[in-house]
Amino acid sequence: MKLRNKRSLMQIAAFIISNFGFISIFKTGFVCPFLYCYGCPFAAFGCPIGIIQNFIIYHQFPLFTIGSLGVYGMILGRIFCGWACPFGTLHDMLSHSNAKRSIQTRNYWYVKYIILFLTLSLAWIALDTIFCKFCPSGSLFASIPFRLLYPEAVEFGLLFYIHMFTLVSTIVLALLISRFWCRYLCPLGAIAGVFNKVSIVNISVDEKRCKKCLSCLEVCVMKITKLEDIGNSTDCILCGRCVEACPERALYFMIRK
Amino acid sequence: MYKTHFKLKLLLLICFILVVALSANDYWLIQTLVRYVCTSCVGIG
Repeated sequence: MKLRNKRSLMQIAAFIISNFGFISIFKTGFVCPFLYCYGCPFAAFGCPIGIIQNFIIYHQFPLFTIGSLGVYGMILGRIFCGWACPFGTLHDMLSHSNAKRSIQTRNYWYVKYIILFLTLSLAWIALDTIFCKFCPSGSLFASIPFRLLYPEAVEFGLLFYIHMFTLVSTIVLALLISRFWCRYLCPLGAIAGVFNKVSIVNISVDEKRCKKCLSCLEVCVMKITKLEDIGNSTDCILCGRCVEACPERALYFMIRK
Repeated sequence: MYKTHFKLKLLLLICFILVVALSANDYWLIQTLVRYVCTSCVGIG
């Protein structure tokens, strides 16, 4: 089976598993390794960014969440962004045709770290989950399903329209820039990306086979610009498009020792 | 050199697993968050 088909199957499976919460006993307290809002009526796991904000609000240290993210990251790095995240999957669908003509730059990669810092500090200062009020993943997987399920049960106000605005803006930008949200804004991607340098599973380049044709960088949806950044950069989502594109088969997934 | 790196990684991984195990009580708090409606997430307000 081709790697892209395996990836698609994994993305579908991750979406289904994330929604197992429609059966009450599957509404667990486990931390989701990707950005999937627990405001979704069917969510089975907790969104780490939402949980961390809530713990900050109640002046508790989110040890369980940080430990869980550490375990996911140490083993698999940022692979969940490429292989499991439903919001990333939406980006894949939106930027399917524009991957090659998207902006070829790594400028502004640090913005997601600023977003992460603002998310945590605003939760501390305002004692509210400010990021969740704007999160486009929450808009898609929580606001819209909730409104469809309970159209008259609750009053939808300004927050709902803010959610719709951020969702539409993100979709428009994702149409123009491949993996826009993951590249520039996702605070969870910022955390997971740090683990790429130490993760046990990673992508490696066989220097002897590599002819430096750079076909791998041409297909990269995250627009990584250097060969040595594949698998190591905080931006790499280990999606494996580069592995597929290499005519010399110089790139491969490996257990890194 | 590589074996040392790998051992350090395993040690770090074990530390994270210990952190999860020692803070396992948080599981129930997170489950409560998941079970109740996050109003700002769904746009009520």
